[in-house]
Amino acid sequence: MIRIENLSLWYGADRSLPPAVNNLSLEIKKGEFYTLLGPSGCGKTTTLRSVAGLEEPQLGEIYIDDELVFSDKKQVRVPVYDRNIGMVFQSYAVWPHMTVFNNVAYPLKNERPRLSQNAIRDRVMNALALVKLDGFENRPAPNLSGGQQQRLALARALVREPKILLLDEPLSNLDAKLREEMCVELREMIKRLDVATLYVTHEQMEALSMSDTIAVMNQGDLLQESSPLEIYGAPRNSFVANFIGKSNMIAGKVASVDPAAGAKTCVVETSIGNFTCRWLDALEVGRDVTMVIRSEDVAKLKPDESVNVNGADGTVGSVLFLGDIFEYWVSVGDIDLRIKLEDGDLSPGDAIRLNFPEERCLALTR
Amino acid sequence: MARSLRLPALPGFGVRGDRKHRVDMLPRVMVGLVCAASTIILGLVLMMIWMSFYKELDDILDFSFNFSLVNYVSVLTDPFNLRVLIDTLLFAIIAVLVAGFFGVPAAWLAERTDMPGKTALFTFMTIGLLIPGFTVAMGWVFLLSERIGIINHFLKNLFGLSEAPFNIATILGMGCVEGVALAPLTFVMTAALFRSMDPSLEEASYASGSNVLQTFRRVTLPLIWPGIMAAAIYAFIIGFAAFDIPAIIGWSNRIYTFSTILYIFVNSDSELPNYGYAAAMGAVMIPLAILLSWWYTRMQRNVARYQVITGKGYRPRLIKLGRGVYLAWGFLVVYLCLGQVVPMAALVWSSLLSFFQQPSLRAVKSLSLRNYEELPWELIATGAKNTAILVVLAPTIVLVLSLAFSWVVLRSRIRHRAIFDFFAFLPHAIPNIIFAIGLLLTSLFVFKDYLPVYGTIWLILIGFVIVRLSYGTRMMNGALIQVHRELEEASYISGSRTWGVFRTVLIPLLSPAMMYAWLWIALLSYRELTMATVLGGPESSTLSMVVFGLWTVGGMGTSSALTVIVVLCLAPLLALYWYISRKANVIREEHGA
Ligand SMILES: Nc1ncnc2c1ncn2[C@@H]1O[C@H](COP(=O)(O)OP(=O)(O)OP(=O)(O)O)[C@@H](O)[C@H]1O
Ligand SMILES: [Mg+2]
Repeated sequence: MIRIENLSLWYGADRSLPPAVNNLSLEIKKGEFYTLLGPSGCGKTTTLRSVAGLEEPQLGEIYIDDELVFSDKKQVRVPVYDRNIGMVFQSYAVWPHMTVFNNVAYPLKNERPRLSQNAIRDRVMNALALVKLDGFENRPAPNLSGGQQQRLALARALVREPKILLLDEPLSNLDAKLREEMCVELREMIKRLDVATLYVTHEQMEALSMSDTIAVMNQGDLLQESSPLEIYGAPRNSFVANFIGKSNMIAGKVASVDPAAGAKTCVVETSIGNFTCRWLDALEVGRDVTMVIRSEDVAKLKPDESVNVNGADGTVGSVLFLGDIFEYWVSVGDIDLRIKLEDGDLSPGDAIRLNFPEERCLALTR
Repeated sequence: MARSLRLPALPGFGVRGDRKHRVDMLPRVMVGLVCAASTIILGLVLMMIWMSFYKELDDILDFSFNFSLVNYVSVLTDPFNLRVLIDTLLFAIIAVLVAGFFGVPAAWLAERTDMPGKTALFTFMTIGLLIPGFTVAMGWVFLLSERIGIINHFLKNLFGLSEAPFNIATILGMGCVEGVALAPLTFVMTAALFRSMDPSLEEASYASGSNVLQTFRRVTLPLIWPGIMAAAIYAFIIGFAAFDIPAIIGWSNRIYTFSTILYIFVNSDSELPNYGYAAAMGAVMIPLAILLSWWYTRMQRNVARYQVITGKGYRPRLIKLGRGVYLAWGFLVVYLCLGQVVPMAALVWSSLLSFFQQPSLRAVKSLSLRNYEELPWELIATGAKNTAILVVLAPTIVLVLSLAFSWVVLRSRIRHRAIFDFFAFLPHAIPNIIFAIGLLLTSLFVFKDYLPVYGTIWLILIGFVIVRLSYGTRMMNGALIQVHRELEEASYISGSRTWGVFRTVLIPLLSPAMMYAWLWIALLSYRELTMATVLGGPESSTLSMVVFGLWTVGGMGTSSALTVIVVLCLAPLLALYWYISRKANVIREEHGA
């Protein structure tokens, strides 16, 4: 439904500076919920706006519903108003001088051939019912709450039944509870309507819970594109590993590689000992790597218990109570590790014996 | 072409060989308008500079290339010009000081104290903004001129003086009158400053044990100083270019300022107009004008640095005046008398006498409406018709152009678009009379055959539009910046082209500001004298020109009578202005902007 090929965009005229979006390619299928995730300023909004036609990239091609809408080489630039997309802006962009009804009816009034008044009314009411705003149609739009305005923006984006939907951090202005509710509603609605959705956020929880596919971006580059499970469990590089979930990163060097075919493990030598890790891409001995383990994957051993591999001794530095779980900072040698445990019976200064389960340790190239 | 005019500001640009998609016309139209208007503005300035290099009128007419620096040499070496320059500077400085003396304290009282009757104060100040400067000038001539001044006569009789104690026809006198006339402008500009200043800064000072005066001196004043300086420069630019007050008061006594002397060079009755000389004189002033406006913009930036965006419902702590209320209103009443009541009363008095007399019982008996009956009604009818054309068309055209300018500067992605903003501001920086002369010369020499606008009302219209463009674009820039860009983008996404975005989103959202600007420009066009006198002819005279004409031929009674009528005609416009500006305010507050 949406296909982007080798898209690059510079904001300034100077092409020797790094671009806001760098040689980005992606494809979103019908009904797919696709999320662009990344830190602030990494180029998510820019990508989205390029698809919408609100920015003009310098290089690349964009297809919407198999129609070429932008191409630098073929000189194709379909104007925004002819792209037939639905978009929810970060600020909602609800028109303050119109009622709820008129806000939603607006895109229909631009349809050619013209729609009858009745047809417009029916479709507006349907769209409002879809976002559970029926009964509000005569309200002035500014008199809605934040969550209602957001749903109004969604209704306006959906009323033309566009084939693709672009959402730029639509939940960022909501409070935590409302956001959780809206997450669920939004995903259900999009699945029901079966529309290709490009969703932009910098909240990893939002991305993990809603998406079919997540693409992590940094500084204009698309780093990894996978399902939520895979991106969480098998990040391709240390940036992704660190950005999704709280991971411990330990610098090291490959000491040996398991010679057995299909074993995909190696031993990483670090300043706090040698650890056996999984790899995703084949590694050779001597390579500089980062060993990654998530804070919830580190296990605590009993003081007298010991393991053959991947064990370490440390001292508790500080404890943080997070409600359902305790978070400890543990010093092992010269490295501080973040560890999540269910029991809170350790206090600062206590000795602790740790185990890094082999299947949870990843060796990533730097 | 698609490179320089990029999406999305100009959606539809760059769609090539592709008939499937609709073309977006409006952006191209707007860019065209903006380029045309900029060309005219720049052309006028260049025209004048070009003219300034010719000695002989015939050479200009022949388009020959007999360039010379003679005009510059004579402008710069003539000691008379130096005197005029110094006089003009003094005049403008006195005007700024007087305007500040009345305007700043009045603004402080209106915004930061619990003084009662603020609505009345704002009303009077608005009226003061709109009353033509020549009205006040005429009134003061009747009060303080050496020969007939009522106050002078009174004091002479009272103390048995042999000479009149005051003479209004001096730089000091004219400067004071100009200052009184500029005080409402200073008031409006500084009131906005006091309103937007963070009140907690003052509160912190009170909390540290300072009293009202100490706080004003140590905290309030330093904080708003850049804003006051900006207002002062703004008033200075106006004072420096002022024409009506120096012309009404000074001419009889051969006291000239920059604008009046320039006017004489191009409109002299006794000699051939010396266009080249006038052009050189104007050209010499341009660097000063640009310097002033650069300074002004710098000050404005400093103002922005101190300003705080305040949310809804914030109310600064108001200082309780207590007994000081009487002092405050006493001060304001003095100002209102000097600025409006007394000169207007003198005008009315003069309009009721067939020849000017000092107030006495005998004079009261001879009051009559003869002057009103004897007014040259045919001339007035022409003037009224022309003024009506200007009052309707000038603000309308200015508004359309301003919208185009603001959109191109703020929303399009044309390269170097900021330069258009500078072009639009140029007419404010450069004294209006310079633009008027540039326009006059152009219409006389360049367009004389192709576009016979010389001597018609359309020439004045062009002049008015050009000089008001700076104001219009300032207003529209301010309003457009407040509209979140995504509101327009959402409209594009919904399938509108730029025209649709304007019609359904931008114009409804900008309409309060547009109405306000329209009315304000209409009122300014109603009272304008400077450009009209330079550009007008017998067929194209406006109401203010008729008044001015009557005055210069010595018809004191009739010109007073006509002035009274002109001011009375302002009343309905004023009421409309008042209504709309209140509505605009209400809307602005409702949107929390
Ligand atoms: N109009 C612009 N002019 C110049 N640079 C811009 C413009 N808009 C964005 N940028 C720059 O391009 C880069 C990418 O910006 P973008 O808005 O796409 O970030 P983002 O990923 O959406 O960030 P956020 O999560 O903060 O919204 C940033 O470095 C930003 O500063
Ligand atoms: Mg963004």
